[in-house]
Amino acid sequence: MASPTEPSEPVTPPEPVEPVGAAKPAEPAGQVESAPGDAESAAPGEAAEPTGWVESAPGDAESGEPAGPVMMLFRREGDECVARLTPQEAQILRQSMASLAALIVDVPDRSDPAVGRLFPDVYPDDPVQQAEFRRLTEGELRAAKLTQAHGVLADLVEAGGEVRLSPERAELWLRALTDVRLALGTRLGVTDDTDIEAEIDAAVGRDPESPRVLQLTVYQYLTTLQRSLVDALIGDE
Amino acid sequence: MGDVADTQTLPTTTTDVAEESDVDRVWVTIVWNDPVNLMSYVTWVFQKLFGYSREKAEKLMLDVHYKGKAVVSSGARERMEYDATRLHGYGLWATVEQQ
Repeated sequence: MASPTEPSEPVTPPEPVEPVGAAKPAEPAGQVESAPGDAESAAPGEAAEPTGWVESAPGDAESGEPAGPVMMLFRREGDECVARLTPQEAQILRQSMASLAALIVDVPDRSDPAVGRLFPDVYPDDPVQQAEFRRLTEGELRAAKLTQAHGVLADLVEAGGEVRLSPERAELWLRALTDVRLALGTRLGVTDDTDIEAEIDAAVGRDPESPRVLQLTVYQYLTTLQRSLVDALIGDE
Repeated sequence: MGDVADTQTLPTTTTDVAEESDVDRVWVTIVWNDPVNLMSYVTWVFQKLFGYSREKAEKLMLDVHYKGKAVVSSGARERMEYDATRLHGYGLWATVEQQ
């Protein structure tokens, strides 16, 4: 699981990433242990290929102004979880949710490891039982995940600004953010040993303009945002 | 969210299990570790879905994290399939098996 503590310091916004340090080959150290029947997702090198996931930089060209120095995260106000999003953050969330929706809207592509992670096998060792279970349950699960992604999209305003979530809405956001991070994390080859900061540095060293730099930065942002929403919802700020 | 079978109902010794027929063996829902889900989120999901106390949910989460997996519920097969589907709805990696 991702560590409960990092990052504790103010996080820089997703967009501007300075080249840091020398290029170092990304080395996803170790794979997910005890992965049941999931050989397809156990190829970090392959999964790291960008395949249509938030590949364009969010539109700082449109807004014309850099994002603030510190990310705006969720905090608790009464029963609600509240965040003020910059236009750029809102756009990252929109693109992420749109990518997620596109991934699950049609009959899932089983050859895609990200799909495999969103819809795991309940009976990994029994293909017959698994097929039957999938036939009975997957449609509903897919519809629920799609509704969640669309729900977040509906809560986002183009210009960013305040997002105010009831507890029920916060739960919907948490599930959708989880799905986005699962898909993106699978694409990026994230493992328990992955140090996202180091991965970003290495990717920037290779090519600051690469889709991987952007995707890693988005992943890091979504992780921090989700962490703040969990804390706000359960009152552990 | 009903209170699903507590893990206390799992057989604590193997002597009985060996004598039981397949039909009698208990079904379990297992959650597997993954590198993406946040520890605080997983704890919250266990509380939310199973009505577990914070302490119990945290212990299960830590088992998942450090041991790679944990049995989070046990009981009838249909119930376990229901639990696993709900866990998938929350993005956790769950499987069902007979112990």
